Amino acid sequence: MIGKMVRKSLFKNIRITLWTLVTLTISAALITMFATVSFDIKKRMGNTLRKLGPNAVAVSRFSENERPLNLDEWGQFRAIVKREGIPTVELSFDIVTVEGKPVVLAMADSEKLAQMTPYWIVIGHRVWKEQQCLIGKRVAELLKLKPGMSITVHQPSGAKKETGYSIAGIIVSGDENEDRIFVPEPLAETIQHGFIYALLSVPEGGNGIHRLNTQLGQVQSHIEIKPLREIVHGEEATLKKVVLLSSACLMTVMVLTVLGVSSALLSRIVERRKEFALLQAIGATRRSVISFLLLEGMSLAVLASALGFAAGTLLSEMVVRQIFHVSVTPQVTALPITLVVTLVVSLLASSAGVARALKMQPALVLKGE
Amino acid sequence: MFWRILFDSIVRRKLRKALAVFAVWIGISLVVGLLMLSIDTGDKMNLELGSFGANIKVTPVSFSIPVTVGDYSLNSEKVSAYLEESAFQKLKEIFWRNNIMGIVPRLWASAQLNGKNVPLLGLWLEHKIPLEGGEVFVSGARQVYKHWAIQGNWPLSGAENTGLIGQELAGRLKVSLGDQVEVKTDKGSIDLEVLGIVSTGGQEDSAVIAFLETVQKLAGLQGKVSEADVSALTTPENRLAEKYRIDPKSLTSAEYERWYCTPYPENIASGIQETIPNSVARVVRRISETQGAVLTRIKGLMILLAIFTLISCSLSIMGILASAILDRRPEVALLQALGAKRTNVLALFLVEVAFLGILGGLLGGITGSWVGRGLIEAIFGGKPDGHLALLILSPFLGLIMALIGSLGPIWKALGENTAQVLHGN
Repeated sequence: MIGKMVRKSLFKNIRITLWTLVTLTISAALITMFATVSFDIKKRMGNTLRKLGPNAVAVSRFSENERPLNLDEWGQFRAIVKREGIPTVELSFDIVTVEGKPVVLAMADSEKLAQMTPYWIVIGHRVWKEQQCLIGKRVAELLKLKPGMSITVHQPSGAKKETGYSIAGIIVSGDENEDRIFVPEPLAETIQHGFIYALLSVPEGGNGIHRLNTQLGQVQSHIEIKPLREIVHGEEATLKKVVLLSSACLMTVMVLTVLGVSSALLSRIVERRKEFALLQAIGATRRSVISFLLLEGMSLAVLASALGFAAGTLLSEMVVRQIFHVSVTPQVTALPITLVVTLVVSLLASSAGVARALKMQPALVLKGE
Repeated sequence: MFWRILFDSIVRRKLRKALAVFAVWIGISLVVGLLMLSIDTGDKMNLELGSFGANIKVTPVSFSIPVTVGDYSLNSEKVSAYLEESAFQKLKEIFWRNNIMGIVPRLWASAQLNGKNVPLLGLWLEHKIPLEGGEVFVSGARQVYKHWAIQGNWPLSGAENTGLIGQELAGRLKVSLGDQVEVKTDKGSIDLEVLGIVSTGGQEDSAVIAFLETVQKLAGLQGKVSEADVSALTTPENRLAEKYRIDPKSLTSAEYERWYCTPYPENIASGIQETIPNSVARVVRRISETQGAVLTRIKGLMILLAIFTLISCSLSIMGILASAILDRRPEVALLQALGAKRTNVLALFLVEVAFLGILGGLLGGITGSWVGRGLIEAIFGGKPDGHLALLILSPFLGLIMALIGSLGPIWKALGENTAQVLHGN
């Protein structure tokens, strides 16, 4: 009976119902949006940071003097990072001479290196081909080299003693890479000794690095993954602040929503004073009026939460796409939050309305006083 | 007459008026608080990004290429060029002095510990630079290297014979916290108490770290440093900075002026290089690019969130005022029945709402500043900047929101049939 009355009442007062529904839906959408952004932002910001460069370096626990290079250990390392899907670039180093001056020669896969070092400014071409090289700014300045010029690298430890390269680009990085020459060489074929390390972009920062080290420990590998502490620490501090910021916004919007939803529901009851007076006049009990109003409020809240969740997810998609240029991950947890907040506020506001409606004298209200 | 009716209207039904003021008050408080947070986020977050460490590296002009890989020096280069330590004090006098947040001059030397050759690093641990106006700028490893993990304590100023030891070296030489170690060089020796074992993920992990002055004495290099790390507040590089980098001559004079006065990392590095004789200041791009990316995204996020919060606040205030006005339909009808013109009734209600809006806005401005201050302190832990403009703006914000929120319902009430409303239909 009450269900039928609620349905009829919602359709009969369609103008007021729609206005209340719109207000509730907007509030629910804002809660969903802020909740989705709050939950997703850590992941999005973390992913963005992980695309900006490495946060860890894998090196052998032993120096070249302590233990000769063992390429098998790197095989185990490669298998683990491949299984975990962690972006990695391996670099092997040797000391060579160019125009009689000693320089560090770094050998790496050009495309992987480009992905791992997006912060480099390269004057010339970023990705280089066979017989081409990238040279650091400092090397270029001291040896007076420019893109397009050729250099001969004397590599005493390599299979080939002399190799000619044309310069594809000059690296500006502000770090030790400005003192190096980068060439494309497959690792295992040329390097039998020297120094190898790998740069990694490990998701979840310190925890991710710890997990990898545990896996390496299980296979008794002598490769150790060391965090680039300033990056890992900086990222963790930044992400903490970002989460706090978005939580502060979420709380603010929740309080504002409570205000908005309460007023919308209260005005809905105020506008329909006569209806409640009539219900009481024709014999409806206080209990049935209370049940009727609460059920009506709950029905609207549930419908608004569903609509608001959809609209809020779309809004958060817009915000995340605008800032991070990727799609948002819809947060299922935002639905119960939206539903609970909207329902609780609706019930509280409806209760206040009920108390107000029941205080009215039916006879006076129906008389128009 | 108009003012008397207005005064009576405001004085009567105090609870209803108080509720409307309360709604505006709460709404404006939250909006002002969040706006304060949004405005401060850029600067505070920029300061927070100092946790990524130094973003500018200063080295002496060198005529040879360093041959090092990671923590390992494959071909140890004999350092022959040094920078003057005293020159770094002047960095707090240059055009970008307010952007320089931390300076750590460092001196590398070789020493013997337990009969083994070890690298010795001297640096400012907590150095005081007097500024104009009597203030003191404190800078050193404690302020800049927030990522260093210290087991034990940092050495305290004045305790010259205390120091730190790198984790890797401590493990190799079996040195523990509190141990006294003899650090010996050609020029002298010192008994150093190990106050902390440090893990940095860098070259420091295999070094003995002491006060710069101590290392300078041990190395016989008084007043000299081999490099320095500088942490600076910078603006992320944008199209203008890129345009300058590609071709400085392509900038118009207005663009050049804007570029020159913007703290791009390259600009600050260039200012440092001009101040420190025989130096090269390089922007550590891995750090500066990360800082730029974080800052750009957070600023964008806060602007969008502030806009949505404003929308949310406007809707709430509008809802509350609409409800209050709808409740007063019989009053509107009665005034019209007594012969009041629509414009008079509209003016009466709008002036009343404006008064309530201004009052709510004023209160909201005061409490909003307090809310914003609390949010900033809770999130960033620092002292918030003053935002007098927001305090001045808040009554106007309250006024605008109140007027927007009530105009529609008042207009609707004026359009209703007077007789029917008075009859209670």
